[in-house]
Amino acid sequence: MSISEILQNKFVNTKIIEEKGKIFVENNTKEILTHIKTDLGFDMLLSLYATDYRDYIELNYYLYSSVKQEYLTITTHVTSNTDSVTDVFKSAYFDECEIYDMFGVNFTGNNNLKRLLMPADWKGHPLLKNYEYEKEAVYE
Amino acid sequence: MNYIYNLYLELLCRLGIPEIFGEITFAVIPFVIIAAVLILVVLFLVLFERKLLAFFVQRKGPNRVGLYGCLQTVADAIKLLFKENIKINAGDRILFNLAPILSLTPVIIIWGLLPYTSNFEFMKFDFSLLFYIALTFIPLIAVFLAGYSSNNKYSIIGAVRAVVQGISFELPILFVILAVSVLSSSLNLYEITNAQNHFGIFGWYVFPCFLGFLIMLIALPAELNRCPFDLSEAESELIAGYNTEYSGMRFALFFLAEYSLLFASSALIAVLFFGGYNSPFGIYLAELLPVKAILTSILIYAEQIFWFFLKTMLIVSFYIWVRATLPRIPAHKLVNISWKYLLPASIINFIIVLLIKVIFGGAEW
Amino acid sequence: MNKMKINIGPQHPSTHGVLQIITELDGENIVNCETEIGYLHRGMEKLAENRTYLQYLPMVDRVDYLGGFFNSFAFCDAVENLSQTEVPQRAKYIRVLMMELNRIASHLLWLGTYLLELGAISPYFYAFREREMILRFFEKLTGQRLMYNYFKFGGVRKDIEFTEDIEEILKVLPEKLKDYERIIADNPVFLERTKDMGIITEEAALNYSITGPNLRATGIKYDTRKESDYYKDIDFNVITAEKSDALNRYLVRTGEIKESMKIISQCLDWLKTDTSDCISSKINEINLKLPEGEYISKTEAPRGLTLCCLVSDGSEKPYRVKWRTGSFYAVQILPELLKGHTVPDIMAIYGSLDVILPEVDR
Repeated sequence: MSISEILQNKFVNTKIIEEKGKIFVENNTKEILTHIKTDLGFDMLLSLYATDYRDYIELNYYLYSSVKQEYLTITTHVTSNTDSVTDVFKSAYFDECEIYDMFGVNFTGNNNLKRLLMPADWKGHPLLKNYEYEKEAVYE
Repeated sequence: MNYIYNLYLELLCRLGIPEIFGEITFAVIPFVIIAAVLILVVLFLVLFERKLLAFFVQRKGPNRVGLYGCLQTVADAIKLLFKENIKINAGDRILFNLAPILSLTPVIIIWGLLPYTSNFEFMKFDFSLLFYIALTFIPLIAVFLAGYSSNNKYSIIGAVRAVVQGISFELPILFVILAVSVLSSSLNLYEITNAQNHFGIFGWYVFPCFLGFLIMLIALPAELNRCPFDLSEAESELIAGYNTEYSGMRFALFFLAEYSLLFASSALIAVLFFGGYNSPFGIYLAELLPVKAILTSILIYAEQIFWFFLKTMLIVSFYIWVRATLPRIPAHKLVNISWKYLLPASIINFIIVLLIKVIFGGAEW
Repeated sequence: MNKMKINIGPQHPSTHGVLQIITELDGENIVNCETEIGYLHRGMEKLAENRTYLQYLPMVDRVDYLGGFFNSFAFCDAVENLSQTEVPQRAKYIRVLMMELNRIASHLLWLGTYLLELGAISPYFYAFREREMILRFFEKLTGQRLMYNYFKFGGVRKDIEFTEDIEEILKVLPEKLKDYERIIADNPVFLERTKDMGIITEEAALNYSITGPNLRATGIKYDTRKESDYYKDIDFNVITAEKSDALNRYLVRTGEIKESMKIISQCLDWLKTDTSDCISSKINEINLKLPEGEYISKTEAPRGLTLCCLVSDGSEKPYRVKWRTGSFYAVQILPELLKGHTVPDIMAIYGSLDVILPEVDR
């Protein structure tokens, strides 16, 4: 059984599809990732990154298993906020802060979400496709 | 000495200045001479250190200013003179300005205590060794005042570290000095030097008191805040420790004090353990000359100064070699070294010296 | 007893860049610690979205300037995979050779600066003396000492010359490494300052996603080179240790220098016996248009795993480039490691993690 089938059997309510080599998950990411970490043995979250597709923001979780030496990618589509996975993988904290900084996605459950790379009083989220340089850089 | 004093008084009398003035200033002139010699020697010493450090890492030291770089320190000093004199706003202004002066002045007095030759002495009195050690406490206090009055967190950390280090390493030094004074039955630096003259090179105190020599060698860089014990001015952690806020001439005074104290401490080791100005052959080469005249005694003094400086510079080179090799020892482990290892070792050394003195009972050693 | 808040950085002689560490001290003990990054943010990822692939390629070296070849390779690999280009065998070996030389140069610089922070001033000069030989070879071959722009899509720009220099390096370096071991690894002060300092446990390393020599020192054998088909005919070991403290991380890195020398000599032998002279495949790099898709390319940089996630939408400019670098996560684990230590240990621990700030801030 492939991984997406295992997951679909466990989480029957959420839509889990495998496309283009990645596993697309509709929502409920935190529980799915907890299950993947504890039962399927993917214990390293190598990277968590986001891409802006104008209508939605796509989050990618790139996982690695040090036991089986395999890689796995989980994707979701997000509009404005989603669950934080810092309780599952501690390395996600910096990643989520950076995504909040660059894309404006709010992570509920992350108790210290702050701007990481831009200055603390910056307005606007730079990596969005509709980010305009002149208008949004306001220093009062 | 009396001859020169009378000459001086006569000169002042010819110029019309009252005699009391001559009496007061005559005591000060030696210190002016020492201060001038100190600056020259430290100039050379700073350049020597930079060249020797560069030799250890396969580089050339400074070699542009002057012949082989000998005017480099002069250029540095002139540059420091031109720097802006930063005055602090908050923090204790009086102590801030006092600390560099307090750091350098005792060292000038210490230089006067050292036995360069057997006859041209500046200060020769019965407890000069104890006075020496008492004076080395004052630059330590100056370091603490500097750090405390700077109103800067890095300086306070550096100052506290320096004081902790200095206090812990004083006790082993005192015990070793006790041992040496037992061997020579005197605290006078000149008599200690003369007492080592009896068997040529084998009369030097490094042989009976070898453990004490090692303890002094380790403990003295800790007093000077010198590598490997330079936690208080660790560049990679605290910017510059206690002298972060100093600039210009005040910084130059700290720098000068550190290097002249380095020379004085190495000279102390040379005097206590290696026979000071005595030649290792037992007699001076100048005494072998067939012609006996005033020239002979001047040659003897010159040779004594030569041996004194040679031994001191060898020990200074050893310290520079250690600086090039070892990393820094962290503060909490440093105090360990002093209390757990050096202090018991110095007590053992004292007992050994007492035994040696009793066994060879009263013979000159 | 009042706690003192002291600020180390961002301008500091030894934070390897601009990193701010805000520590709360109780005497000399560290009670709490936070890091603040973002002082060197140059917008590498946003810059990619307005430049063509060829215009972005020279900028890629600067993500981690001490490992320019690795970033370059990550980007080229992603582009080649998306455009289904085949890289000729000779170019593959040249790429491996340059990357391993770069790894040696980076580890030598780390060695020198780590010991300079601890207080010893001589190993810095000795390490730079060897690194200078490598940089001179790079300058002769590519024209640049640090930002090479030597890899291109489909291969390399110039064939390799001056192989005598590489042989000279391979002859001189082993003896010097023995000298370093005597002056550093047998030095009791160094051992005392690095033994059992900043221990990263296996679970912490996996949880915080630490990669590279920091992870291999815990015992987990994760090296992307073994999974890559560039290294499939090359024989080398993956160096690990039992426990990741500062001393073992030092030993792992010096071991990696020796393994890199083995790899370089094997590559050099292959290149000498090779008769083909094709160093790049024919690909139009000026008007390169990649088909739609995504690809994640992996490289084992000296500081950890470097990922380049390239998303393309069919046009001549990348849609999104994401750089995942190893130092980013090492900075994240730093406050955990510093709890309970004293101020002199900050540099001993932070230096052993081998963090470089351009990689963190991009």
